[in-house]
Amino acid sequence: MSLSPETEIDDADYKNGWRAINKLISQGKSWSGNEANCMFINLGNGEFADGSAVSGLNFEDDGRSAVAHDLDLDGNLDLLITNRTAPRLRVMRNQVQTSNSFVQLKLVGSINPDAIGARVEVHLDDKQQTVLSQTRRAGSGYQAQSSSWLHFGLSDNKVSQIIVKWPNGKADHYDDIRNGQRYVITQGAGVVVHQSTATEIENSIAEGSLSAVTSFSRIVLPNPIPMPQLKIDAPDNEKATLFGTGTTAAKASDNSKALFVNLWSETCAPCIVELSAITENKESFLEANVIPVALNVTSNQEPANWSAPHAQASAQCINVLDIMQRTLTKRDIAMPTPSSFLVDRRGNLVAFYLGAVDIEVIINDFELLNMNDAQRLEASVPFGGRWLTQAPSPSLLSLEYAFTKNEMHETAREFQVGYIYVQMARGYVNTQRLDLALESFDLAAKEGPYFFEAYSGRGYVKQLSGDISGAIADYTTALALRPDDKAVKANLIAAKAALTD
Amino acid sequence: MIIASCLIAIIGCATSQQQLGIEQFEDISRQAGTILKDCGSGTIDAKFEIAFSDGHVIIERADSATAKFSFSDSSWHTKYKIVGVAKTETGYTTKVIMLSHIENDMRHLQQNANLLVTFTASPSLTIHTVAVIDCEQLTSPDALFKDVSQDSLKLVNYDGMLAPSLNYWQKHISSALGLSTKSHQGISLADVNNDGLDDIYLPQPAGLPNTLLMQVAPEVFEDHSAKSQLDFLESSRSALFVDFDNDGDLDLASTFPGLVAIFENDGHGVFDVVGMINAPEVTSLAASDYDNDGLVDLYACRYLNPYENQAVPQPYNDANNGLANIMLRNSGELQFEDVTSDVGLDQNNKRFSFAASFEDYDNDGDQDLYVANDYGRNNLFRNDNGTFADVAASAGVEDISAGMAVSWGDYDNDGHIDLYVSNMYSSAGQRITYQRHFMTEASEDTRRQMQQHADGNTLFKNMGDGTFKDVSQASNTNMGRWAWGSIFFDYNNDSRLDIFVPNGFTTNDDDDDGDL
Repeated sequence: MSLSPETEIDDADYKNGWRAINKLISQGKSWSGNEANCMFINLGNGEFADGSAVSGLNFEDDGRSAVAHDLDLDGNLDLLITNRTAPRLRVMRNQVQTSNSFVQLKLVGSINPDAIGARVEVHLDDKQQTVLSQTRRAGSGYQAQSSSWLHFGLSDNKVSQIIVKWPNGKADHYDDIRNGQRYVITQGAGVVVHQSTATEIENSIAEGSLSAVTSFSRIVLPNPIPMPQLKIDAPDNEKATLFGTGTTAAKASDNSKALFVNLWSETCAPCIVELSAITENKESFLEANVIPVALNVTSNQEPANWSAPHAQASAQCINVLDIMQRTLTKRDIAMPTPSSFLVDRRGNLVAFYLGAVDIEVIINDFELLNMNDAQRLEASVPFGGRWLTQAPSPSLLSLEYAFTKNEMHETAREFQVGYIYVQMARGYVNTQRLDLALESFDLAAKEGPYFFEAYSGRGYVKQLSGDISGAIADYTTALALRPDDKAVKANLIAAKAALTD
Repeated sequence: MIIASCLIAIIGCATSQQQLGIEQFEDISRQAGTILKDCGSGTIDAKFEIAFSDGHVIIERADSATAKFSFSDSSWHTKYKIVGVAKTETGYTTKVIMLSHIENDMRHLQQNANLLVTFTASPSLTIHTVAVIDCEQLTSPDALFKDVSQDSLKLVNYDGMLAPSLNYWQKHISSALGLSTKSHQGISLADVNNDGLDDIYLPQPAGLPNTLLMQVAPEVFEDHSAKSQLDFLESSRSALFVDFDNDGDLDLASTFPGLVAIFENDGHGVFDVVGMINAPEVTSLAASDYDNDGLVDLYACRYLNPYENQAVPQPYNDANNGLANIMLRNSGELQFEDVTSDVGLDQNNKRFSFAASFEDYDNDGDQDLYVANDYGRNNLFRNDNGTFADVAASAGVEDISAGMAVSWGDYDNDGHIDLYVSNMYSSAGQRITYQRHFMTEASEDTRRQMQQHADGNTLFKNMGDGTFKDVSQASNTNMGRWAWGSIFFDYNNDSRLDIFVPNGFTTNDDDDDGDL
C-alpha cells in the first residue's frame, strides 16, 4: 500500500501491487487469516478488558457479522455470528450466570409500526439515577439488522420509569415496569407483557436436500461450454486430437457418445482405485452411452484391465484442462491427479471433478447429459432455489482471457466472438427476426470455431426463409463436421424433400 | 520455569548495517516473533488485584513493577504480536502484545500483557530481557458462551449447507454463477411471522440459496427459505425487514447484483417482489425515516471491489473514486425515489462504503447518518430537518482508516450515543508505517493517514456538544484485528455495553498461523 500515489492518478506499480494481492488470494493463501474474534468487557470506568479467550468466542472463522438476541429467553443476550470459513453460522448461547436482572422491550409505533428511530430511556432507581439509552434501528454493524427486541441489563437495580421518544417527536412515560419481563409498548396504547404465540414443535431432524460434504471437488456447469481442442498421443504414437474445431481422427471418440475423460497416472494410487471402479461399472457407462477415456499424464502406459480408449495426454492437453478448471473455479490452484471431465456428445463440457470421485456420483451425473438448459441450471447449484433475475451466462470470455494470458492463442481463439454471434443469432431466431439471424450466422461462420453451430443454424434460418438449396449446402457442411448429428440429418432430409416438391 | 536457553537462543540472523531499511526491520521483527513463539507459551507472575467482577468473570490488574514474565509449558496457549521495532545502541527493542490462556473444568484463565523485548541481532539474534509494561488477568468458571449450533439448527441442513466454508463451495459451484469467496454477507434478525420470536435471514453468495430460518421454538430454527419464496440464488449481501408500507407486516429490501429489490409480505411470511431499483454494487443497506414523514426510507452503500478487479482505491489512504451511495426516499406504496442530491448527500460521496447506520447523535429529533468507508475518511451526515451536511471533520469522526462497520451505543450511559467503528489492526502495518524509511517522500499527513490504517478500531465518545473524542487507546478497544461487524451488547446485564468484534479476512489451508 506504500506504493499508493498521494493523489488520484494512475500508477502502474500500485495497481500491480493489488494484482499481486489478488493473485495470492486466488492461489489459496491466507491473508489476515487465523485471527481470533475479540470481545471487550466494559469495566464501567471508561476502560475495557480484552476477554476474548474467556469469552469462548475467539474462533478463527473469518468472522463477518454478528447480532445479539436472547434466543433461549433466559434473560441474557446470545449471539449469532456469520463467518467466511467453517462453520458459516454459529449460534452461541450465553451461559453467564449473575444476579443481574434485565428487561426486554418491543415497540409498536403509531406511524411507522416498527418504530424505527425511536429512542428508549430506561431510568434506574440507583443512587446515580443511571439512564440507559438505546435506539430502535434497522441496519448496523456489518450489513446486519439487529433484533427488534431491545434488551436492557439492569444490574441489581429496578426500573423507575421508561421514556420512549417516538419517531414523530412525542414522548411517552411508563412506570410499573418489573424486572425480568418482556414488554410490548404500543404508542398510545400502553404496555403489555408479551405472550409468545410460538408453539412447541415436534422433535424431528432435517429431511431432504441433505448434501453430503465430499472430499473431491465437483462442478456442474450452469450452461455447457464447448471443449477446445486437446492434443493427445494415441497408443500407436499417432498424434490425435479430441474435441474442438477441425477435430481430426478423434480416436477415442464417436460422435454419438459422450465422453468421461479421466486424467490419471500409474504412480497415483487413488487414480488406480478410481479407474478400476470405472472398469467394474462399464455396463453403466455403456447404458448411458458414455465412453470412459483414460489420459495418462506421465507416460503412455495403459490402465490395467482397461478395455476403453486411452492415450497419453500432451502438455497442451494438460495445460488447457488446467487453465479451464482454474478459470471455472476462480481458483489459481493446480489441477490435481486424478481429475475428470464429463463432455456431452456435442463436445460440450457439462461437469468436471478434481480429485478421485465416488463412482456413484459419476454414474448419477450421466443424467446431466440428457438435461435441457433449465434442468442443467438447476443441477449446477448444490441446493434448490430460485433466480430473481436471469441466471448468469457461461464465462467464455473469461476462458478466452485466461488462454490469451497464458499465451495459448490457438485455444483462446476457440472462445472468441464466433460463439457470441451464434448466441445472438439464436436469439434472433427465437424472436422471428430472420434477417438479423442470418447476418449473425454469417459472421459466426467467418469467425470460427463454432463452424458447426454456424452452419447448422444458418441452414435452419435459410430453410425457414425458403432458401432451400442454401439450407442444403449449409447442412451438408455442418454434417461434414459432425456426421452423426441427428437434428441436422433430419433437417437435411426435410430440406431435400421440400426441394423435390 | 524460565527456559534459559531461549534467552540466549541463536537463530540465523546477522546484519552489521547501521541504517536498516524497512525490509530489514521487518525481517528482524518477524524473526523476533519466531523466536518468541519457538520459546513457547508465556505467563505473567504478579501481585494481581481485583479491578472488576460481575459475579462470573473476575478481572485483575497488577503493578508492572511486581510483574515477571516467564516462558511456560504448552498447557498455556499463547500468541505474540510484534507491534513495533526500535533500534538501540546495542541492539533492538520490540513491543509485543501477549495473549495467553489456559482452561480446564474448573476455570478459564486469560492473561493479557504488553511486553518490551530487548535483543541483539548481531552476530545472531539473541533475546536479552522481556519486561512487562502492563498486564491483566481474567478468570471465569467457564467460557461465557457455548456453541449450540448443532442443537439449535437440528431442523436445518446445518452440516450440509451452513457448516462448510466458502472455500468448499468454491470447489462445488461454478464461477460462472458468480460465487465470490470474500464473503460480504450480513445477517438479519426479524420476526417475519410475528410470533414474538425473531427469525434469521442469511443473504448468501451466488449459487447458495438465501436462507430464512424461522425460530419455531426458543433457540430452535426451521428452514423456511423455499416456503417464504426468498431462496434466491443470486449473490445477496444485505437485507432489511421493515414495514415499508405501514400495513403491519414486515416487507423486505435486499441487495442483488445490479439492484436493490423490494418485496412485499403477504401477511403470512410469503414474499413477492414488487420493485427492482437499479443500483449496482450495493454493499449494505440502512433504513430510517430521515424526513419524519412516517415512511421508512432506505440508504444504500456502494463500493468497487479491488479484490474482484473492479477498481483500485486511489489514493489508498483517502480514496474517493468509488461509486456514489444513494438515499432512496419512500414515497409510499413501496415506491422509492433517489433523492441523494436533493437532500445534500451527494457531497464527499464516492467513497468505498461498507456500512452505514442511522442515529440521532445530537439528540435533536432527527436521524443522522454515519458511513464507514474503506481506504479513507468516513462520513457523518448531520440531518437538519431533512437535509444533510457532512460534519465528520468538525465532529472529529473522519477516522481515516479502513472502515468496515459502524455501531452506535451509549457505553458510558451519559445519554449521548457513542460510536464504534471497525477497522483493521495490523501489527506489520504498526511496525512498518512508523519507520522513518516509510514513504519518505510523502507528506506528514499522508504518513499519519497510512499509520492510522493499521491502528485498528476506533471508539468515539460522544461529548454531547456535537463533537466526539477518540478514546480507543485509553479504553483499550482498538486492537480488534482485521475487524468486521463489531456490535455493542451487554453480555452480563450489568448495564454497561460490552463489545464483540468478529474478525479475520481470508483463512486458507496454508500454514499461516495468524497475526495473534
